[in-house]
Amino acid sequence: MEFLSQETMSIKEKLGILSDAAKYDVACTSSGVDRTGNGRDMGSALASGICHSFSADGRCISLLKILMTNECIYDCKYCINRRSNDVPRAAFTPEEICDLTIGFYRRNYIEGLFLSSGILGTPDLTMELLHRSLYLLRHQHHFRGYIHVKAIPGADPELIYRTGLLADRMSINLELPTAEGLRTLAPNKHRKKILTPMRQIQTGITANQNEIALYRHAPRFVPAGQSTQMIIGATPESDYQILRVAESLYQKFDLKRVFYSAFVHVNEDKDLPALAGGPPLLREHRLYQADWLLRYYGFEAGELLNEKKPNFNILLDPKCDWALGHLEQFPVEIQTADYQKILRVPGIGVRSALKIVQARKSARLRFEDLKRIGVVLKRAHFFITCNGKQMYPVKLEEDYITRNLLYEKEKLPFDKQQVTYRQLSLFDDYQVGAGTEGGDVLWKNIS
Amino acid sequence: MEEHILICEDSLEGIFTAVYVAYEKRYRPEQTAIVTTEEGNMRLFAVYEHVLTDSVKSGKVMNTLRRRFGEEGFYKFCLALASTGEDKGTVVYRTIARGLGLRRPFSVFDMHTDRNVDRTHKLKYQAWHEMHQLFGFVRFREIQGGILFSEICPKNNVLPFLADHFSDRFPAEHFLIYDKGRTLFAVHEAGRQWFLAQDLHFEREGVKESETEALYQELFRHFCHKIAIEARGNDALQRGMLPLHFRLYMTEFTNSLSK
Repeated sequence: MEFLSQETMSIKEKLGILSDAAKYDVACTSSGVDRTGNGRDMGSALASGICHSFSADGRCISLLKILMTNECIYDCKYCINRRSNDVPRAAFTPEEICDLTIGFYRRNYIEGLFLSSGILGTPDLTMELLHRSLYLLRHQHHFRGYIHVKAIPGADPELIYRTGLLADRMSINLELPTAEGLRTLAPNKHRKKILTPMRQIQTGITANQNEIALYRHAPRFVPAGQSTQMIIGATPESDYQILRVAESLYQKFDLKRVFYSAFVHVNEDKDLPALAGGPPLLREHRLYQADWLLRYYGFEAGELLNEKKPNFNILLDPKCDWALGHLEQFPVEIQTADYQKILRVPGIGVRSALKIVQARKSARLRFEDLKRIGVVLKRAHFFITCNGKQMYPVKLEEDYITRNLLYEKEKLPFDKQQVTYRQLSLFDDYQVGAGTEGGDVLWKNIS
Repeated sequence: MEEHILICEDSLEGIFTAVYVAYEKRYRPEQTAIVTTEEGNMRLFAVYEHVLTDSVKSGKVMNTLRRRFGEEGFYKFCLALASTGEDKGTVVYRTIARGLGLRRPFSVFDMHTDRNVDRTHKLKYQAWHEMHQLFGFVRFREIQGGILFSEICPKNNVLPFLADHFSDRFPAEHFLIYDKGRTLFAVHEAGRQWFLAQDLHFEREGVKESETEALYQELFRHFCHKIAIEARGNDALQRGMLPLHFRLYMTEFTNSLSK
């Protein structure tokens, strides 16, 4: 187990092992901080973040996402790097991490570094090595690009604080939505141990903001905020429970992002569920949609789901689903309704809602204007009036609208749904001649 | 009423000179078009005029735009004019004209019901989007002498915006970005202001990569391969996010860029 083979292992082999081991971490965003160049040293950052490539699973590659080491003293059942797994192990030295980051960054392969790690020896030792890598990168190589680093639960708060002064974003993975889930699948981790450093970083960020208000050149502590992630589908929580957890993380811990990671079966263990259909991608997608509603649309978890209805509708996105359950709040008059009301209409997003509010200051809006602005009228027209008129004479009735909304097939970022419809539509092929799309046929049948 | 069609060079300076001329001659904006190519179908009752690019005139227009619309507004116009829309000269000109008639010219960008404003927004977005994609998709390779070289073939004329971005990011590097479609180079020498050069004499065949270059390319390809989760494989999503035409110039999708 010692690092005997390390000497002979090439940098390519190490990179292979340690990026392979890091790939289940979702966050690869390089957003949240604007930093222009200083005219001397390499690096800058854009608040919007920049995607540098996209891997074969369609996920963005923005940062050099690696583990410092995949050695680990813990034995979490869902994790490929668990102690009891017989997988090749490797470790980067801080110098190797710097060389890779700088070499990649100069060629514009990446926006910065995402550094995580298995627990090597003790949490303190691991955190110290992470700090060392970041320190070299920032102070020896004068690197001004983006750095996202993991805080290791259980490490000395002082070490975490000092690492935070070098990083842009820090994250601690919640791993599983509930404490019970954590107890069964990650016996060495404890909810409290995860939340303590999360709280520490939160207070650190707030204190730092006050400091910067006073002293403009005070060193910045985690300027791009902190994030976390949870695994979806490994434990039996409902969507409602998960969303409530996310909501309280946003409200009580000021997190910038909560990431959801569809459980991928990598280990055989009796405590893990067998997922026949592969990772629960649709569920993950619905959670992200709801997450957006929480962060940008002013929704609360309790509005979207509740104890009686704990899971999302498979066929409708959460916003449509909510609107259909609250028809008493519609139709919304585009010309006069306030921004928040408009934002809640299905088919109107943050961008088009803003444009509506801007445009109506100087002109009366017509449906054709809405279309040009970017409103998806095929969804929105059921819920709005423009100067007191509906676009088509439709009834504001749940069944009728549901049927029509389902008729317009939802575009999903993966085609699991389409696979099923294609298989089924083979039996419907007499319909194809009639010029209808197979998908619509199935949706009609379902509704 | 007569229609005027001003034909000018396809550049910021060219189009802004035409804007100057239109103002100078007091043409009515709604009956004036600014085009950058000779139209195939000549219109019967229109008066065609060629405008010669004049840096003094365009400079005056740029100053006015900066002053009245602010830096942000000026940047929006520049992006829209870097796009590929054939009507870009006309819609930007009419947006400018409408804006200058307002007490706060910048508020013209709120008037989404105006066709010209809306179109300006769309063209701006088109160029901005490709620029933002290329912020990430540009790939440099190190050639001998430690110079970074990149080749791209963007649809919109975003090279100046890229040069701004990369000279801010790599102030201490020498780099060249080559826009293949426009045979245009952006040249940045360490510590200096970048500049554009047309038809620069640069023997791409003779260029040798530096010693470590092949290793880094290999490492990055390996990384991109390893970072994907097989169980989530999704080519369609990848293609949507990273269209194929970009990949011709990207390290991770080619074996060697020196071809």
